[in-house]
Amino acid sequence: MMSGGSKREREERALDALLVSTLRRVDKEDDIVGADKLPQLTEEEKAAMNALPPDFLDRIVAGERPIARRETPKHADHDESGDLALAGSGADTCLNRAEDVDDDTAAELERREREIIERKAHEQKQGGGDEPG
Amino acid sequence: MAATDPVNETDLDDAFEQGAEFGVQYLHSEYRERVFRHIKWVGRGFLTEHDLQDVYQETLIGVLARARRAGFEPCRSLRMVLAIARNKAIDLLRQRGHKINLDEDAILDVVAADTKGTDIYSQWRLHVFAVEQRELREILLEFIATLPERQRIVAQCFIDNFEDFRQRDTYRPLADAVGAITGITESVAAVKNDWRYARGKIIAELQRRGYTFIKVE
Repeated sequence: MMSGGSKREREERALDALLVSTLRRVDKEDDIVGADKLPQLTEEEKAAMNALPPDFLDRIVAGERPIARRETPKHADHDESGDLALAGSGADTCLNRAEDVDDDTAAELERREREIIERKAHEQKQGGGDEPG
Repeated sequence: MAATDPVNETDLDDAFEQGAEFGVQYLHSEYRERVFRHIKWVGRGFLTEHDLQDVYQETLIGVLARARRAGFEPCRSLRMVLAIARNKAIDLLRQRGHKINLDEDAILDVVAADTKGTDIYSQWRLHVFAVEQRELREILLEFIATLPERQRIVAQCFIDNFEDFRQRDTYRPLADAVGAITGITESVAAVKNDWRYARGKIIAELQRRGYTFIKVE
């Protein structure tokens, strides 16, 4: 187990442990969280809820699945153009990260950027990525 | 039923008493939003609008199958529905690479070792009573769901994989867990950094909510 380190590091580890311990504690009441504690739906979510097809229930009863499961591609599949947002420096986090990106992280980001560029170049060379017979 | 909600489930029980199809119809008509909100809550901020529809559909299919089973007795039907919804939401998250680990026992030793002799643990024991643990948990879950996506993923992986990287004295398993969701090879340094920021925001939020003793000095 991780041990030692400065007092601050030990306190940080202890806080991590306490937070995780709190979040991993599941009691039997969890299935029936009071409505007042549940998050409200956004307008978009409400719209989705109300946009279920009129024959939704009939089709469920008939054994169908009116809503097709949309396979969500993993984040990297959305954009591999070399934009490192996907490595954790997106619009939401870039300001934070810019404050304190250590040398290891900077080197890692640089390495990853090179990998992406190389992979892109390789894919282009292969002409669409068709597997050779 | 838990005394957390004024919902009277007996109407739903009565509906299922009249038949599986009628029960599901009543559920869809009267409890749809409640079920959607429950799915959203379980989804920890990782489910899109379409995912909510999808999990809701799977929930109704699961409920219908259960209610059609021979010997089904409608009792606490809403609890049954919400339990099924929860499982379906977790199934989808797992398909997306989330580990979803709710085993508290597995981390007892690690927590004991990590907290031993620390100031924060002494303060925690003084201020957080058993009854507040649940409230604190709800605050944390609610807040983590509002973090930027990247930090949310890292925070959730941190929670779900805690024993793996703590016991092995390396954050590599954490980076791998994050990579399983993002689909790219994650560096240990970047993931640690993201957790650090997420934790900072969590501490700030807890202090704002009155848990002023939670700080790292």
